[in-house]
Amino acid sequence: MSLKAEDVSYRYPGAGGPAISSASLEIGKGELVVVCGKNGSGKSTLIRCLAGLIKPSQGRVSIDGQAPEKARRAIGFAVQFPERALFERTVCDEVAFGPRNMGLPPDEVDRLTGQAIDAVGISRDLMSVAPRSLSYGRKRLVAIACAIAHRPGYLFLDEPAAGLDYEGRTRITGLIKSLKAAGMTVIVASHDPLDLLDICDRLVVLDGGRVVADGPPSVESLGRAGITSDTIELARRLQSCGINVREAFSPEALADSIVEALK
Amino acid sequence: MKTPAIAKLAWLALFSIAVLMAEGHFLAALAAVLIIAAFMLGAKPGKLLRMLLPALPFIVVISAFQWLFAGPAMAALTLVRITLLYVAGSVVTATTTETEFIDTVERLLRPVSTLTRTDIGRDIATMMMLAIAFLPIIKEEHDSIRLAQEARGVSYAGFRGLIKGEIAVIVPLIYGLSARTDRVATAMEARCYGIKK
Repeated sequence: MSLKAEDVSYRYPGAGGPAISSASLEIGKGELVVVCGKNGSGKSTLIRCLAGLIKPSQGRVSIDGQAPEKARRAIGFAVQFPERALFERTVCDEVAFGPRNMGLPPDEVDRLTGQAIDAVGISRDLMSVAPRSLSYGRKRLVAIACAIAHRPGYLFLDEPAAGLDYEGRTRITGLIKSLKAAGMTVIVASHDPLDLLDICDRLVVLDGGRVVADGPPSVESLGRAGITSDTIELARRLQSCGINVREAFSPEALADSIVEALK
Repeated sequence: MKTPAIAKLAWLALFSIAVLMAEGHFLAALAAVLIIAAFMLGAKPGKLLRMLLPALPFIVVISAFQWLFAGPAMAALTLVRITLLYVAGSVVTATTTETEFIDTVERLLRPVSTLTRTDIGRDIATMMMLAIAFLPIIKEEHDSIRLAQEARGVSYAGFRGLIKGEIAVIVPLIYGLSARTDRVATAMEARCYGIKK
């Protein structure tokens, strides 16, 4: 069971060139895949194609062997700045929107809503509050709860940490880690993926709509997205000084490695 | 005890029919009924006045046209009728939350949904909810674009300045709102909206 994209291209109506050119990917169950690239490289377009929200101009996408439009229950998607798409009267109604659309009985809707709220770490006391009245960070968490409420097998997050402070970004990274641990396949589009590199299985790099790298994250593949890693640079300098540290993308992982090496 | 929204809507429908049919002393009696209803439903007179003021110029213009084509008696009758209808509608909207409104619409349309085996009741309620949810967003976006335009030197002084300034706001406002609509539509689609159960 997997998500497959074969030779996918997409051209926006009236655009000069394609936003995505001949992209082929296969994402297995339970994988955490980060799609990165510069602004305008086609990250959002690619994940929208993979989720079946837009139909590729060329090529095909299949989700667990089915066409995306037939596998909508298997897909969860949080658009970029998803808090701007909140419209229901209460947090509870907002999160329950997806399960209700699936025609589930009310007690099942309540159960799934409660589970999604717990999964993102929001207090259940906020369920009767209007989403618009919440803080920016909490709105983002509510929006992610909305995307996972109907228990999708594949979760797509478009720039989930954009605009958040350090604490908010850390919460989102922790949440993605726990969703992956729960067996969900998570595909994240991000132009600044450093927080996720230590926990992701694969890094897909896009440049001008083309997949230019696909594999475990490395300094080389990051370089193709125009991203440099200060922590890797520091780890290499320490190694050249004889301190045997592991190369890590996050400052926390590098700090742990330094402590370990100095023991 | 709180009056259910359905009762208020039924009263509004009957009151509107009565206003359109009544003349002379009957209209005065209906005005008295409206004052009693407003008092019983707990509508605040100040709020009702604030709701009426922006509509007043339109009511006056409509009545002025009646004066031109049908004479002063018809103009006075139109003025009273429209004012009564507007205030009655305001009494209902001022004392009913949007949640109550939408829930009532959904409940009223439930037989239609059952009969047609569709979700038409829920769809209409969702559309109403989206429209209501978007109103403050439109105002927020308008205000932030206007602020940005003022920072770039667009003047809103005087009537001509106001019109020119608002034209400078409308294009980015429509663009921003259509992007937001697209975002909401995508989010709804990704949350199984319109899926065949």
